[in-house]
Amino acid sequence: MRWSRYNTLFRTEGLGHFCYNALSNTLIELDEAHYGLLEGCREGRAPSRVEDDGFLDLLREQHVLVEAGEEEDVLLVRRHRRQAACFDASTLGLTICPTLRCNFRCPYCFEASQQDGGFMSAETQDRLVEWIAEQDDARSLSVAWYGGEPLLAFDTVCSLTERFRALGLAYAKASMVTNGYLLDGAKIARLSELGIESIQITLDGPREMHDGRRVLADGGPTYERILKNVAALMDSGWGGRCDIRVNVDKRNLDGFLALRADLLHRFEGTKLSVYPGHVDVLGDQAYDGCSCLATDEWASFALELARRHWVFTRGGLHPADGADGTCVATRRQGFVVGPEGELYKCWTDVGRPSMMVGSIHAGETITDPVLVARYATGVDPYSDPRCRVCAVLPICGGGCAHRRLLAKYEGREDVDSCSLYRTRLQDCLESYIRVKRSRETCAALLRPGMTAEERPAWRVISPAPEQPPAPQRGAGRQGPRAAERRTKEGPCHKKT
Amino acid sequence: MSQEEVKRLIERMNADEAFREKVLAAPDVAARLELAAAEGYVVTEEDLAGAEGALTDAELGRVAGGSEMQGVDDGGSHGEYMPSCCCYS
Repeated sequence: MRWSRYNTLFRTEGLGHFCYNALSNTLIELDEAHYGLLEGCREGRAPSRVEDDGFLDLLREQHVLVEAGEEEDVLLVRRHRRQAACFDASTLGLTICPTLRCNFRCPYCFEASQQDGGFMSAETQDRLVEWIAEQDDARSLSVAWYGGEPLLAFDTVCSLTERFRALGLAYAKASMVTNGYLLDGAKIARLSELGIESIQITLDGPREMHDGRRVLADGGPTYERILKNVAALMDSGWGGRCDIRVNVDKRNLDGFLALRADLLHRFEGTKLSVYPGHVDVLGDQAYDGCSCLATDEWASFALELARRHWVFTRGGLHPADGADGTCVATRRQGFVVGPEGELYKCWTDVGRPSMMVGSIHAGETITDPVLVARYATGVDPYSDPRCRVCAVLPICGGGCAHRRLLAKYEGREDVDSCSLYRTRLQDCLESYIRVKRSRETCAALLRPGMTAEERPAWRVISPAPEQPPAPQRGAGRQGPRAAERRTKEGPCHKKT
Repeated sequence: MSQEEVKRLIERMNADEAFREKVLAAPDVAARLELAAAEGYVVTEEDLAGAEGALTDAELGRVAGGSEMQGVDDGGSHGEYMPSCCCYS
């Protein structure tokens, strides 16, 4: 047995001693004696005999100590999972842009055709419905309405939804990304029948800050009206979730917390969340890239939010388990549909003719199989030598496929596709540990029976996965998935 | 403000073992909060419960919104295509 290259062993003043393994996505809290034992393992010494407390079994099960070839086997299983997800045809996932026209002129927008886009014609709508019906392997249809501004073509959203529902596919969980300006009472009243369960609306800070960025085509302000529409939405009885995205860069960084506090207070008790989105200039938009936060600056911002304000990003601070790195761009049955029936693989490609992969009007739908293959296979991190030796590949899953594409095939040396875990993993884990500690202290305060528990000699402190992976047959050796099926919270050993 | 007060209290308890033991030695929540108040931390049981809920969500990764720590569009559960990485609309 030897020390896994996916281990991070660290001690932090005031927090304690820890070992994290990215392959099993498991964080173990240790006392000093067990930490010392692992230090020895890291330096190449065989684990010394310890009391038979199950610790060595845990190290083996969680891939902290591995046999020759074991890590490669686990990576192979993960790669297979990614490929299976990429080529699964049971769900057709469409992002539909009924128009590329937009009533806003936001400076950082990556879409190239805000002003000249038309609306989806009746003929294209007919063909879209036909084309979906032709996808024989699809059992369910997932739709995200996008644009341009989709509410400029709300009639199309309504008529297409009705026709999609008549196709006999499972149709659920539609979502919409809108600027919110046109979300009036009449449209809100129809959201439930349209199956729209989540809406993303962007506000870029308090009124003055927002109105300096997200303006109408004539430069007019938008904040008041959007807020009024959000209030109507949350008061309407619609059962969905509203996510307020705040596009954050150096220019409005300071406004995020004030806006968040205001909105959460105003809409307390509703399913409204407020989260920061990372503005990132990759395309040819005129926005000043110097205003954007680099990946590391973004990490610092997010970690600071957690540490100083208890404001957290989705997914929390502990790395996500089973990040297979798939998205609409990498999945065979995922497409972004433009208003003329043109197909793209990534949202950021919308409106760029060179990034079209096909058309629903074409005899052969896919007209650029090379680009499709690049997204699905060409940017597969498991075939990238740099990723294969990276200690965080199992949790990063390769990062953004679009960024990988730019770096690999367009020679964009300025594009970093790595997740922040590559350089900030320990910071993220420490933040997670602080959150867990604080939650435990809250619980101890609220429940007098839980007073001052003795810290065990070691314990797994990762969150339990919400959905255990599907069982499989014939995994070799210990079975790479065996560890992944374990409930993370629980194994521990009391000091004697 | 209440969450900030809870945060101050919890951070003090996490950092100051003697204070932690003193507070937790009180027999019930009301007595504990009285001790905390005497040290300048004015919080209610409701504040604490709210903070515990928020921290539990954060610990379990149930915070809604974008997947920004990951740096990748995880698309939510399989088959759900709502991206979070790039939609500025």
